[in-house]
Amino acid sequence: MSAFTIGLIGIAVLFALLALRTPVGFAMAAVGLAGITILQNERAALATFSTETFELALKLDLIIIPFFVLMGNLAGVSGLSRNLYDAAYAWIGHRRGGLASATILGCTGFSALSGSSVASAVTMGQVALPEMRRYKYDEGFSAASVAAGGTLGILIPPSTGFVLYALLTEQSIGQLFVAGILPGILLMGLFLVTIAIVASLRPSVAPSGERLTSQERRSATLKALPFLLVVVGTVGGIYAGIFTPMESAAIGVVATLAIALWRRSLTPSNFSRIVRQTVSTTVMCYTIIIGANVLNPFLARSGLTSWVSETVLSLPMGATATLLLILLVFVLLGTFMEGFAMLVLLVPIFFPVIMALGVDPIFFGVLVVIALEIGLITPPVGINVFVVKALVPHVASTRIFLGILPFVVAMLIGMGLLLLFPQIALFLPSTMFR
Amino acid sequence: AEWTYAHYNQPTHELHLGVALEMAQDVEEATDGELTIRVFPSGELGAGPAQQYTRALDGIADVTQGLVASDTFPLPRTMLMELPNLFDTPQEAVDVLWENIELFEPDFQGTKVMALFPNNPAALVLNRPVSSPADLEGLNIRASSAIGAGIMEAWGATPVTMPAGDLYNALQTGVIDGALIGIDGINAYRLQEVASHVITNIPGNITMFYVVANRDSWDGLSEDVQAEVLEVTEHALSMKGADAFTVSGEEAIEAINASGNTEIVELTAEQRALFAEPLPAMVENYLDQVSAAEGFDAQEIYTAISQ
Amino acid sequence: MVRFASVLSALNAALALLAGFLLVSLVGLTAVNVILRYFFSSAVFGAFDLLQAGVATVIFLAMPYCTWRDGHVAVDIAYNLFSKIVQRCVLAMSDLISGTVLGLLAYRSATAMVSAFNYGERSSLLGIPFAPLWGFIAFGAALGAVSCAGRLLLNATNNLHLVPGTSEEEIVQ
Ligand code: NA
Ligand code: NA
Repeated sequence: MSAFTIGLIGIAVLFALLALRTPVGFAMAAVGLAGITILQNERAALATFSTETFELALKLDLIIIPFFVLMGNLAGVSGLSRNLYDAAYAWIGHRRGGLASATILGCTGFSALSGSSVASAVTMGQVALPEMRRYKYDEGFSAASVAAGGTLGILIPPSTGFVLYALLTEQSIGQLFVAGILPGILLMGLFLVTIAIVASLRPSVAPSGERLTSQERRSATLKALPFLLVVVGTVGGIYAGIFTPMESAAIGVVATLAIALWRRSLTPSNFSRIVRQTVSTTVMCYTIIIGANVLNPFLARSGLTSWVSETVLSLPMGATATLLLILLVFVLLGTFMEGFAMLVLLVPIFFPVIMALGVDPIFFGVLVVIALEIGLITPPVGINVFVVKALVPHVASTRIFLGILPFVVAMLIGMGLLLLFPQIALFLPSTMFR
Repeated sequence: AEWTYAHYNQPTHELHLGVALEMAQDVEEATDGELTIRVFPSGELGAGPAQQYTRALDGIADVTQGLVASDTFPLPRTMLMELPNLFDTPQEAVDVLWENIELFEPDFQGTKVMALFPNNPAALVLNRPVSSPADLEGLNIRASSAIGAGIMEAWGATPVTMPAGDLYNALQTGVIDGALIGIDGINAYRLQEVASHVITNIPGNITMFYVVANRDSWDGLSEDVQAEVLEVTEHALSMKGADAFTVSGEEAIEAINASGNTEIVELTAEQRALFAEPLPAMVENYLDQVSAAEGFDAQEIYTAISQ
Repeated sequence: MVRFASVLSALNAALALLAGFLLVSLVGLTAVNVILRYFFSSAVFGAFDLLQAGVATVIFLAMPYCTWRDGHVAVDIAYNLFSKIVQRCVLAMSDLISGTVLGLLAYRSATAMVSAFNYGERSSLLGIPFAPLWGFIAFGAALGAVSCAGRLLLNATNNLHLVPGTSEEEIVQ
C-alpha cells in the first residue's frame, strides 16, 4: 500500500473516531501514532509524540491561554462580567439580539488584547454565556456567537496568525497587523447584521427585554466601570508599551483577583472550584494542540498535503480562479485541520504561485487568516466550537454548529467583499508605510 | 536508501536553501543516487527548536538540523564556540572548529555530525544609539542564551529572555530596549521597522548550528557510501552554511538601509575595545562553571579555539 | 466501586488544585516581573524558564482530573442519536483509545526522563533540570491512563454516574 493510500485511510479513521465521540486531541494523536508507525516505525512514532508534547507544553506563546482563562473565571465569580452584561442589557437589551451583539463587541475588544482566537472564545465565553443564559437566549445561538466572535482574535492585531504568516513569507508583521484592522471591523459589522437578521427571523432565539429608564442605565453603567477599567488597562497597557500580552494577562488576573477579594466574593470553596476549572480548560486546549501536532507529521509524510496543492496548481485556470481555488482549499482543509498546522503546510507551497499571479502578499495574508477563521468554526474540527462547547457541556455540538451557519455565511460574504474591494485591507498599510 | 531530513525553518530560509537542499543534492551526486535525501522543512516532521537533536537521536528523521543553544539536549563543548570576541566571520569559525573537531566529538556520541557552523557575529539592535557599555547601563536587552545573558550583564544591561517571535512587538512597545542578535535575524524578524539603530563590529558572540544524522541510519550505510557522503558534508557542508549566512547577512544590511528607518553604526576600534574590556572575566567565570558541572576541561577547548 | 470512584475523584481533584495554586504563583511571578522592571529596572532572571517548566507541570498535574471527568473536547453529533447501550459501547471505545494514548505517552516520557537525567538535559538560562519535568509528564499521563481504565470499569458495571462530571454549576456561577 502506498503512503498516500495510508494517509487517506488515516483521514477516514480520524473522521470515524471523531464521529464516535473520541476526544479530539486523543483521536488525532492516535491516528498520528498509528500512521507514523506504519510509514516508519514505532520508535519514531512514540518519539514524535513525546517531543511534540514537550515542545508544546513549554511553548511560551501558549502560556497566555491559562492566564486569560483564569482571568475570565475570576471576573465571573466576582460578578464583574455580570455587571458588564447588566450594562449592555440596560443599553441594548430591549433590542432583539442585543446581548449577542454586545458579545460580538466584547469579542472585538478582547481581540485587540489576545493574539489567539481560542483564548478570545474561551475568555469571552466564560463571561458571556452564563449571562446570555440568564436572559433566556437560545444556548446554541449564544455559543455560536461567542465561537464566531472569538475568531476575530487572529484578524484584529495582535495576531499569532499574522506573525506566523509573516515569518513564512518574509512579509512585514507591522503591515499585516495594520491590514487586519479594517477587515476585522468589517467582519464585526457583518456579525452584528447576522445577529439582527437571525433575531428578527426567529425572535425566540434572542428575546428582547424591557426598555430601562435612564437612571437604571446610569447605575448599571457605573457598576460595570471596574470591568471596563481592567479591560482598558490591560489592552491599553499593551498598546502604550507598558507590558507584553502575557504580562497584561497576568496583571489582568491580579486586578480581577483584587476586585474579587475586595467584593468578598471569593470563598475557599469557589476559589478551589475556579482554579480546578481553569486548569481543566487549559488541559483541554493543550491536548488538542498536541494531538494536531502528532497528526501533522503523519500527513506530511504520507504526501497527502503536498498532493492537494500540486493538483490545484496543475489545473489550467486564470489568476482570479486560481486564487479562489486556493482559498477554497484553505476553507475545505480547514474543516478538519488545525489552523496553524495548515498555515505551515500550505502557505509555503501556495505563496510562490500567489506571487507569480501578481496578488499582493499582504492582501493574500488577510484572506488566508479569514480562511483560517472559518476553519475554526466549521465541523467536524472547529476548535473554537469545541472550546465553547466545553463551557456549555449540556448543549449538543449539533446545535452550536447549526447556530454557526449564518456566521460562516457572513465570513464568506466578508471574504467576497475583500476580493471585490482589496482596498479594505490595503488602504491602512498604504497610508502608514509609504 | 532514502533518508529524511527534518528542520523547522521555512522553505525560503537560507538554511533550507543553502544547507538542507544543498546536502540533498551533493549527497545524491556523490553517491551516484545510492543515497537520496527527502527534506521536510517548516517543522513538518516536528515543530519547534527544543527537541530537534532528540529527533535525530530517536530516528524521527534520519537527519535533523538545529540551534545548539535552543536545544534541550546539552552540547556543552560546542557551546564554547559561542563565547564572545572569538570570530569575525562565520568562515573563520568553521575553519577553527573543524581543525579541532576531535575536541567536540564527545558531545555527539549518539549521532553522526554532518555539519557544525555559526551564523554571523551578533549585532545590537536598539531603540537608541550607543557607543560604549556605559550607554547600555540599565537597559533591558533580549539575549537568547546563557552566554548572551552573561555578555549583557558584563556590559551593565539587564538581560531579558523572550521568544524571538515576540521581539517585534516588544521592541515596538518599549518592553525591551534592544536585542543581541545576528544581523540576518534582525531582517528575518523585520526589526528594522521598529528599531532606530543597529550596532555592528561589537565583540559579541556567534550562534552555533548543527546538522546530525541518526547513528543507526549512518551505520546502515556501506563504507563506500559513508566515505562519499563525508566528502560533501563535515567541513564542506559547514562552509556552505557559513556562506549562506554571509549572503543573508549582506541582504539584511541592504534591507535595513532600504527601510530608511534604522541607522547601521559600525563601532570604531577604540569603541570596540571598550566593549571588549569587561569580557575576559565573564569568559573565565563561564569556563570555570562548565568545567565544574560537566567534568571536562573547558579551558583546554577555549585555548584551542581562541588562538 | 463507590469507594474506588471516590478515591480516584479525590486524588485527581487534589492534584488539579495543586496545579491551580502553581498556576496562580506563575501569574504572580509574571506580575512581579513587570513591577521589578518599572520600579527597580531589573527582571527575574530566567523568568521564562520558570514559566515554561511551571506551565508544563500544571498541564500534566491536571491531566488526570480533566480526563477522569470527561473534560476533553469531543464531537457528540452522532453520539446523541444512539441508544443508551450503544452510547456505553462508544464511550468505552473512546476511553480505551484515550487511555492507550496516555499510556503510551507515560511509557515514552518515563524513558525520556531517564535519558534526560543521563545526558543532563536542562533549561538554557537557569539550568533547571528537565528530568523531573519528564517525570511529571509521565506521572500525569500514567494517572490519566489509570483514570481511563477506571472509567472503563465503572462503565462496564454501569456505574459511570459516580464520576463527578463537568456539570453546569462548575462553569462559573
Ligand atoms: Na488579536
Ligand atoms: Na473546521
